[in-house]
Parts: sequence; C-alpha cells; structure tokens
Amino acid sequence: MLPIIALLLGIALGHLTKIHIPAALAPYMSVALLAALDSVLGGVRANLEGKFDDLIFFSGFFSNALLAGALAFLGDQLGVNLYMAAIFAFGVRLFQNLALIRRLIVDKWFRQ
Amino acid sequence: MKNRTQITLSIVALLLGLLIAMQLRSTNDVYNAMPDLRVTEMRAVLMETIRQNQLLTRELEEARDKLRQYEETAMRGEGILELIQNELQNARMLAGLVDVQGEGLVITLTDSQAPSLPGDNPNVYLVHDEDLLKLVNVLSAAGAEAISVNEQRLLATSEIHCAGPTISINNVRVGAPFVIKAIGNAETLESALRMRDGIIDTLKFYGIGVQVKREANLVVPAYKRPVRFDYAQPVTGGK
Repeated sequence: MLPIIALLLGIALGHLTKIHIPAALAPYMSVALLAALDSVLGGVRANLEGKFDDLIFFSGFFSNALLAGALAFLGDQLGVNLYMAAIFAFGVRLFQNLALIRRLIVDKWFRQ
Repeated sequence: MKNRTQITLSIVALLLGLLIAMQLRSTNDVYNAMPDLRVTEMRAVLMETIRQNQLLTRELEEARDKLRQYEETAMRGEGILELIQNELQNARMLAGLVDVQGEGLVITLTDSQAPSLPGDNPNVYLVHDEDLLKLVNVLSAAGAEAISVNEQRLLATSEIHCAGPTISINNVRVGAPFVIKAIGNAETLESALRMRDGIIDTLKFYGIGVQVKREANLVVPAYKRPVRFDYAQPVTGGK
C-alpha cells in the first residue's frame, strides 16, 4: 500500500515543483524512464515469485535507468540510434514481465 | 525485513512518479515549443505587412489631400483647371510624351574591340538585345524614372528586340554604339550597374566596351510617334 501512495505522491510532487528538464535531455530521460518502469515491473514479478531482493531491485532501478540514458546519449554522439536498442530491449522485457505477472497472479489467486 | 522492502519500494515508486510527471511536463513543453520554430518566418511576414500598411496609409493621406484640394478649388470655383493640367502633365511624363530633364547616367555600349581569335564565335563580341534588356531592367529596378536608348524613349509598350545586325526599339532600328540615358539618382543607378557580378561585370567579361558617365542635367527625349490603342479600351464603371 505504501509504495502506491508514494507513487501518487511522486507524481503530484513532479507536477507541483517547477523542475524543468531541458528539451535536449528529454529523449534520454524518456529512455531512462522506460528502463525504470521495466525495473519496477521486474521487481513486482520477483516479488510474486518470492525471489525479491531489495538490494538488487534498488541497484537495478538506478543502474538500468542511468545506463539506458547514458547509452542513448552515447548513441547520439556516435550517430547510431542506440536508444532504439534500449527501447526494444526494455520494451520486450516489459511485456514479458507483464505476461509473467499475469500468469503468477492467475496461478496464485484463481487456481488455489 | 518486510519493513525495509516496503521502504525500498516506496522510495523507488516516489522516484518513478517524479520521473513520470517531469517527463510528461517536458513532453508537453516540447510540443508547445514547436510553433517557436516559425516565429522568425512569421516575424518577416509581419514586418512586410507593417511596411505595406504604412505605404498604403501614406497613399491614403495623399489621396485625401488631393480630394481636399479639389473640394476647396471647387468651392472657390477657380484653379481647378490648373490642377487638372498638373495631373495631365504628370500623366504625360509617365507616359513618355514629353521631354524630361534631370540628374542621371549616360551609358555607352560599344561592340568589343578585342581581335577575335580563330575559332571564337563572333556573336559573343556584339551587343545583343538581351544585354540591353538586362541593362534597362537593372536601371528600372534601381529607380530610373525615364530611360532612352539612342534617343528612343522607352515606354510601357517599347520593345527591345533583335533585328538582324541591329536592334529594334519602338519599331526603329538602332545600331551600336548604344547610348542609354537614364534619369534618376545617379549614385544609386551607378552602384546598381557596378554591383559585383552585376551587369557591367558580365558585359566586360565579353569584352564589350562600357562607359558610364554621371550627368547633373541630361535630357531624355519624348516618344515621337502617336500613341494609338486599337485593342485596349478603358473599363468604365468598374473598380
């Protein structure tokens, strides 16, 4: 329950504060956001599988987001659309995680 | 242990929410910033419109002034003839039916004196109708008010057309050397001609002799023939 409240609080905070991301950084930010979302869904899955480790989750969240952003930035410097690779990898994982979460929930709560 | 997990999740969720909100807002910002790209373009259009507006306002003021003059003279019942004569004189000057004088340029074009080399096309050493057309066009663009070529006044209907070894202007054949007289601001006219890669540079490239002389007072002759309109009729009653 507490994490959901924290999520809503974060959204509200982000809307109320006047922190602006420079337009030039917005593309990297979006990739980082995708990585963060993937980490959170991975965490939910691990939790449902009973393998959740908060240290791994915590470090994964930050390192994934930072690395994805940095990779996208590096790609732009090199002239290769590396952010596409990030979007692809994280996008696929995101849907895999979602599917696994669905199966786990169905198994856990509807097939006792 | 359970507590620590909860706190970890909360921190991460808080950060995620913050990120999502910030990203949403910056996406909005980017979307809203798009019209800015057209600002410079729009500014140019705006400046042009403002300029035209000023010009039209001035014209309107002049027209009102004229109207007031007419009204005043009509009230007094005198002098209206003089006003109409002034108008007529202006119209005649514009039509090229009177001699005009004033500051301007005299430009003389002569065929190339350079000995033609074997294999060269002799055509490129001659002054062509196109050279004259371009020159006259540049002068007009620079604000020349009256132009003549070899004493042929250029009218709205004048042609400058190739006619064998000569050039036909106002249906009169003229030949080299060509003396072009233009009344206007001599400095502006000359700098328009002498612009880098301009008309004089082009002509000199082909070896054509170009002489430009400023004159404080030169006379551009009137069009000597009757002006007739066989086809064009003034539209009455319309705008």
